[in-house]
Amino acid sequence: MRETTALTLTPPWRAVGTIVLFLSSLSILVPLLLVIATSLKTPIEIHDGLPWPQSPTGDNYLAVFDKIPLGLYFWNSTATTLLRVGGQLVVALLAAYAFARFEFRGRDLLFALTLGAMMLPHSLTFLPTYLMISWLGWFDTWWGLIVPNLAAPVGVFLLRQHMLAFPRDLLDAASIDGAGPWRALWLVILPNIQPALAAIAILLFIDCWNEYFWPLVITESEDAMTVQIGIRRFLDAERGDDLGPLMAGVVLVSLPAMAVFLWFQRRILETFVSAGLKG
Amino acid sequence: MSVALALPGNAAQVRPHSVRRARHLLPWLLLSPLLLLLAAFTYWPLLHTIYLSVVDVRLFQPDRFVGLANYVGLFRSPSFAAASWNTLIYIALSLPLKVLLPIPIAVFVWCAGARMAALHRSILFVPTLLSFVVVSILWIWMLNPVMGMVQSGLRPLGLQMPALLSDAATAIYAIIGISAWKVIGFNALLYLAGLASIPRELIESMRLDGATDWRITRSLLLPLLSPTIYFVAITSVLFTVQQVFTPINIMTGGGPSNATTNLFYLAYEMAFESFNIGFASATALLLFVGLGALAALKAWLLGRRVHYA
Amino acid sequence: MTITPFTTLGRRATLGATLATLAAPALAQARTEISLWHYQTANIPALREVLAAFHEAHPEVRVTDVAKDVGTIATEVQAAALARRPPDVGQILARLTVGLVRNAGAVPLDSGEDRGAFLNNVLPRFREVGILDGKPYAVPHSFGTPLLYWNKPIFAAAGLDPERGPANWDEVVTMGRQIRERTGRYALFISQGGRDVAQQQMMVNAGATMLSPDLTRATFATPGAIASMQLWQDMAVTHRIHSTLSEREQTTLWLGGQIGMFVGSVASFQGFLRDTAGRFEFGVGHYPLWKDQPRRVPNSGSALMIFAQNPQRRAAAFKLLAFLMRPEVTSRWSWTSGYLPLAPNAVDDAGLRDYLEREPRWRIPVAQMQDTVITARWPGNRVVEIQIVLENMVQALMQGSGPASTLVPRAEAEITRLIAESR
Repeated sequence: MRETTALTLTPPWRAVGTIVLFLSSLSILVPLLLVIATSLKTPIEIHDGLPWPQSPTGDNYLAVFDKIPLGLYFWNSTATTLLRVGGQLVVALLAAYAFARFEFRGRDLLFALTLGAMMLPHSLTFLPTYLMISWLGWFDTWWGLIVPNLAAPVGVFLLRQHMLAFPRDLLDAASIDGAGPWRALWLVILPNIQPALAAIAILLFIDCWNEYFWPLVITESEDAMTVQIGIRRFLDAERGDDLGPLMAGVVLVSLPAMAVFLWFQRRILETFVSAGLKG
Repeated sequence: MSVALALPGNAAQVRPHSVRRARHLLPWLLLSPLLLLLAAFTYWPLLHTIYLSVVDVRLFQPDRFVGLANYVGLFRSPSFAAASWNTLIYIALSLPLKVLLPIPIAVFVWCAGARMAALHRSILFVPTLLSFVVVSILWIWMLNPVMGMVQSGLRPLGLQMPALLSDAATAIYAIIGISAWKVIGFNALLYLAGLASIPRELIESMRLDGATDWRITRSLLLPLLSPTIYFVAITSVLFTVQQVFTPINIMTGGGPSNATTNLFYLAYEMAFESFNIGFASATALLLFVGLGALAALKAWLLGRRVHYA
Repeated sequence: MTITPFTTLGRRATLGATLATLAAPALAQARTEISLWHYQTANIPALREVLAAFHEAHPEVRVTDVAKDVGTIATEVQAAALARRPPDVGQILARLTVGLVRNAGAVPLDSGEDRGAFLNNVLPRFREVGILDGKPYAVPHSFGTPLLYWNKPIFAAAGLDPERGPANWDEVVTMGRQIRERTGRYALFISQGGRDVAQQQMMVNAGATMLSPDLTRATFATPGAIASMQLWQDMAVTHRIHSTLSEREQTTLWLGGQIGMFVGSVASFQGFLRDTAGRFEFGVGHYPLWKDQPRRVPNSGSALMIFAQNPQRRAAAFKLLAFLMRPEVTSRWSWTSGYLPLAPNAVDDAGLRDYLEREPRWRIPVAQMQDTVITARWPGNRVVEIQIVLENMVQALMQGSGPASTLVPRAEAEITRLIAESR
């Protein structure tokens, strides 16, 4: 059975499509390969303008660990990302359920305020948040990295959309069975929303893993510093970036997000394609 | 990506399944974590920012009320004028690149054979996985006009790579292009998920009626994709305003001659390089109000189309 | 046994506080923990080495170093001061120190036990930058001065003497044109080193003063300064020996051996050694002279300030500063980090003399210390806009939007307006 019910394009369009896709993929792959190639170069080769290393070396990867405590940064990044994403999902799931399932006074206003929060990143209101973190004593701690970011408006929005799209019968059936709202959430909504939840989890994971501004401001030491801030050590416009370790660091810090995507993508893509087939 | 699996075509029409006799407290209980967090870490800072935009903050002394002086000062600042104008350019050019261009890419992937589709899907997602710091570093390397890889490709053709990032006439387009590069693939996958949920029977029956590809695209695919388009448009505007911060910061510093700065970056600079909290807060608020207005306008415009398409 | 000092107990359990009180006699030798915020991300090993030596000399003090971003550290210190948790010692760009006296509660450096005697270990012309209303608030630490680096193989290829760089700007132009004509390469890049550094260096070297003594007006549009900016424009537009690429692109080109001459900070020296090793040799020369005038280059870099409000930590912070300013410490810092030594008679130090034997090129910056003048200290809360005006002035020059005789006075007037409007 064919996977999708796609259009069958006429030959000229098919050719155009092939070329467009080929070029797009190339524009993505070439820069990435160059970063990897540069990370394998010796210091002498780095500025020679050639795409490939003449004598590939892993020294830059060793240098990264030698020059910064990258292992600790990885631990901080991993732990805070997992805790934060988990928390974000729980908070968003509960809120989305409330928005989608119940009618209550002020619901639309609260939903608008939730979406409005997307327009207010921390970097614009950093000083008040900074003062609050100070008051809480959360500088250079996991708390400071996690808690202020636990509300994920985009997650609330997407989960609510999914719940609104549930067939009415499904929820009604649950109600007739006498299931309370909690049981309905647990037994009906959750199993059906899993693929969406996984997709949102990945988005939030990538977002958190790649976050730059907030950890830059509130972390100070190995206690809480994350990988993205750690590799900054190799950036230096004035005397030239330390390119070898920088590129190796770039490769290393990009791997987890890649791995998470590759690990989950098959299941997710399959799930939604089959959902599409069911119509 | 499956986020959009759920921006299903009929989302707009479905009414919430309200439970009329619900205990009144339950929704509030469910919402309380979100509301507490938003109150503490988004809206309290917003109120505080409003306050900071009308006072002069002084250490060891009470804050001094200055009225609208910060706003007046902003409107007299040439940097503010340049940043406002650039913000509009970023948004205006990003919409076709980030919202419309991914649609044909998604359709092409959708129409490609299963194996090619899977391959392209994975590749297209990769820029989303990279942090913008990484993306900026990567493109600085690519675009270096003497030693960059693009130049290496042009040299055999006898062409000279222009200095895109250091020319005031081109720098902003380079950054727009790079930020589009980062999100086109992701947005295409959102559309792809939307396409996957389109019922096969509809396409089959249209084809039996003798409809061409183009007609199917125009009168079936695009209307059914409109909720996704709306979502992509909203997130693209936010993304464009906020996320170009990193490439601006790393690649151009807002220059040359203010050519690439935007309001978000200016607010950051005023706060972080001058500690001018008053100006930074005023800029942040104006930006927030502007984005809110834009989102509302777009919701209204697209919302109508979504309903009646 | 390590005894937690009373001051850091704050949120610890009462039990701990009680124990500490019982241990009162030992408190005299208790350790005081202080924080040092800095932006020496590239020099952390060198910095830790200095701190280790300090800990050895002063076991009663423990310094935690916190690396921040050079562009944002001043603001983070101010935000932290507002949040009542300032760093005890902060390393701040010297030209921003004025703002931190008011906004971050900086402590006058002559208020310590030794009444500021340690300041005498620093060259007086360097110290000026930290003095406000007659009081010292900041002491130079990682200080730089601009040098002219040149690529020896390119010089040789252009038929120039690879051992001799240009002495003045006229020679920069003639040598640059020769390089351009004979090798087809870019001949020169003047590193901005921040938004407002390079143009300031060039104009001050041509006789201008950036600010009026009372810090209320910009005063740089002198005939000499305008002529120097015109020369910069001519080098880019007419002679086409100066490229107009961005800072990062330029640095990459220079390290790739593609640019003949590079005017940049002494702070780049160690990085250049690291990144050009095995590929090309570079020469180091003084900042080029302007016509027959004596050399006058603004010194720039970072200064240390004390923000500690607690007496015990403040005392510890003074100990740290006094240690960091010892001539043998500053001279060692100079070659481990690549910044200038700070002592009035730096070459008296045996360690530095040894290093100069090994690396004769380092004599140039050490000698140039005597030719430096104070850098402009922009007042008020519109600093970044002032810097943008200067940055845009250079970019307008590079793009040939107008002659220096209109662009420079225009920038001066705009900066004066921004100063008047700022607080």
